[in-house]
Amino acid sequence: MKQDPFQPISLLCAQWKKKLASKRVDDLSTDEKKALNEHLISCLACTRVQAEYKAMDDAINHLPPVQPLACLPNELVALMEKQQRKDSMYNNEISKAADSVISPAFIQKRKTQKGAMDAQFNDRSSSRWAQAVSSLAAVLVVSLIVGAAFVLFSHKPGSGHTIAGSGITAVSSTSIPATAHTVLYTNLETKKANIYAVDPRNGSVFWKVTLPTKLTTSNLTSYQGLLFAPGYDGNLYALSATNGAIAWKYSVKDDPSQKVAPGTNIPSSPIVNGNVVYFGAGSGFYAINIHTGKLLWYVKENCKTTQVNQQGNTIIVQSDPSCNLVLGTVANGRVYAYFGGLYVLDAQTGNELWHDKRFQFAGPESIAVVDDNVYVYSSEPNSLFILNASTGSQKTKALGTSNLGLGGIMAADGVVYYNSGQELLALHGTQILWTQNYRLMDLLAGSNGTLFISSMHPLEGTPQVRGEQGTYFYALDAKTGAIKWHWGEKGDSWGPGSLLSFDGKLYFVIWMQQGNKWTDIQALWVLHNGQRDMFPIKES
Amino acid sequence: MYQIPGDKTLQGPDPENKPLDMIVEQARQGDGTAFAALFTIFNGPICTYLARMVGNDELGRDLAQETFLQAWKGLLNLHGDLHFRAWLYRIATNVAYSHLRRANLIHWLPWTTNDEETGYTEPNVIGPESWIGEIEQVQQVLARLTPQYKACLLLQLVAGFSQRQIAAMLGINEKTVGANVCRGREQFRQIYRQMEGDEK
Repeated sequence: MKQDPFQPISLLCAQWKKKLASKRVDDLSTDEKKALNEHLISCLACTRVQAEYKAMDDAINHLPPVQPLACLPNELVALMEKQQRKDSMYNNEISKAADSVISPAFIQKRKTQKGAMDAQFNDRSSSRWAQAVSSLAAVLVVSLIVGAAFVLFSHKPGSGHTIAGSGITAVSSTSIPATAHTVLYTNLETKKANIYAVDPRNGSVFWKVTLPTKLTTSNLTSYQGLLFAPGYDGNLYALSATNGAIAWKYSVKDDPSQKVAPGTNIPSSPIVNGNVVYFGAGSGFYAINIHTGKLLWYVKENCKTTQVNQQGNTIIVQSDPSCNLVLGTVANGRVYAYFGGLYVLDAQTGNELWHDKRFQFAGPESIAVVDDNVYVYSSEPNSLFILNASTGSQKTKALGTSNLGLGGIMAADGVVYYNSGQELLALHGTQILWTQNYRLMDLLAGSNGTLFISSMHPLEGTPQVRGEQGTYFYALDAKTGAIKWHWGEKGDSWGPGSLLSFDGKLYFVIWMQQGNKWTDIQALWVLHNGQRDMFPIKES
Repeated sequence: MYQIPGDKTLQGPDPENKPLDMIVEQARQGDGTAFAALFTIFNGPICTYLARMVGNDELGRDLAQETFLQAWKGLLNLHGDLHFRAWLYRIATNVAYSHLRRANLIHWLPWTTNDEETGYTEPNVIGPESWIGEIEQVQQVLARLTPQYKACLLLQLVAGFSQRQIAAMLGINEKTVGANVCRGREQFRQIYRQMEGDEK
């Protein structure tokens, strides 16, 4: 029986009108579609409603299309370039660079940023992007250099001795004073990590040791006569900084939780503070006494690690993206860790002191602590926040940044340097000491009143005219930010993976150049007073 | 109610005829070229969506830039239960909300699912309406819609998402999506009529 098209709205019609107003045909079940069609045949009211909504939707859908963006936004391109460059800085084996046994402020900073980068960040050093953007040549150089590394530093059978029970081979071991400045570097490519301690004065090798595993970071630092090497085999190795001998190793295979995916429990980003080395692993954070190698505390987090794999030089830990497990920094008795927010733990007990879920892990160099101030970068929105270290309360209005949101932070000598992407700021407490209009650069290290940064374009350029791409190192006056001197060259953009600075000079290990050409000889570079010295690495 | 074509990105075309998932995965690995391909695919639809959301083409493009920037920075956080397209529109929606919130242009409503709580009423069925569709007037009407209604309406109408997809995207109940679409239409009708009356 047909329904009178002019009869009052029935309950059935009311239901259909509600659906007509809110749903698409696709959202209806097959039965609903069939029922609707049957109803529309017999109901003029609902047919009119449907026609009305169709007309309304047509009116919206037939609005003229919006002219799209003409090209990739400049800031996005810059960000990609920056990311690519950072990868060169931290992940490419072009660097194989040095690390420090000095300058504790920088030790902590370098450990934090590099460890986090190595263990938690996907390797964005894509060769495709390199091709697309700028640096195919750089990639080729990297390939040559990596290849050369195997030649130069491959283990020589019979030239060393095995430390009983450790699987560790020491080669050309020469004891050095625990207080000596030493450039430490390693190669992440080899299945067995070779670690070198190099004399920063002349490039000679103090000692070399081979571990039975790859390392999860190339950023090795020593502290109180020990250096800490996190292995892909699940061990954190503590080695003597004087001769490379193993002091102890701690295995996270026996993680108290035992609930992480197989193969995902690897130590990463060790940070030493006091007599304790802190690091993250598959399911939580560990605190180990550096003298005994004994576990002091373990904090399990509910971040489900699903997979670990290696791409290039980077260990990728895939986990619940809402809780990236990253150790940020350790300072003044507090451990700053990210897992679904910034959590601050008591360094002695691991007990939570406070947390703030606004701050997600935003990449390396995103947190620094000086005195009672926590400087933390947030990408949502792109801002630098200064928090009270004791309570987590916000001290001042957040400092906005550019949309680039790079937010590199480095602390040295009580001053925090903040790279906003558009400019470089120096802060003491909550006060801005100076601001310089340096765009798209990287904070490297500093010592003796000198701050080192690098850029892929000359800093003297303008946003409109950035100058030719290349590799440029700058030494800034830490008091004013003014340029003291610079050294650089046009061409490929690259950067050392880790650095040493203790006397106003910048030290790192990279390949030798003759004229403008790279060679396959690894060398210690020393940048000072606008010039570069190179010392070929010499194994005794 | 009728079948809508949605935007071109529904089919995931790409310049090299690669599956969208493959391009997304390459971009997740840091491949800038792949991300540029994604930009090419979604540039127009996202600009259109955002321009409709904020009622201004130029502003929509500005917000689209921010959307793609955030997408690049957040790609690592993209995980399996939300496809890239939905994820990108979610970012765009949040970017639009943020802008409107900063500009104090939003009257925020709680996300609720209960019809009684939200004052849900059946759509007005007096009609049919003759939608002349003057461009400027339709744009003005859209600009005045409550953002939450407008987001659901545009995501369904212009972007072609299902209510289930919109619900997952915005983190709200599917019924709420339906109610918001319904309210959006009703609001559209009322404002349109009011403007017509004013003109007369």
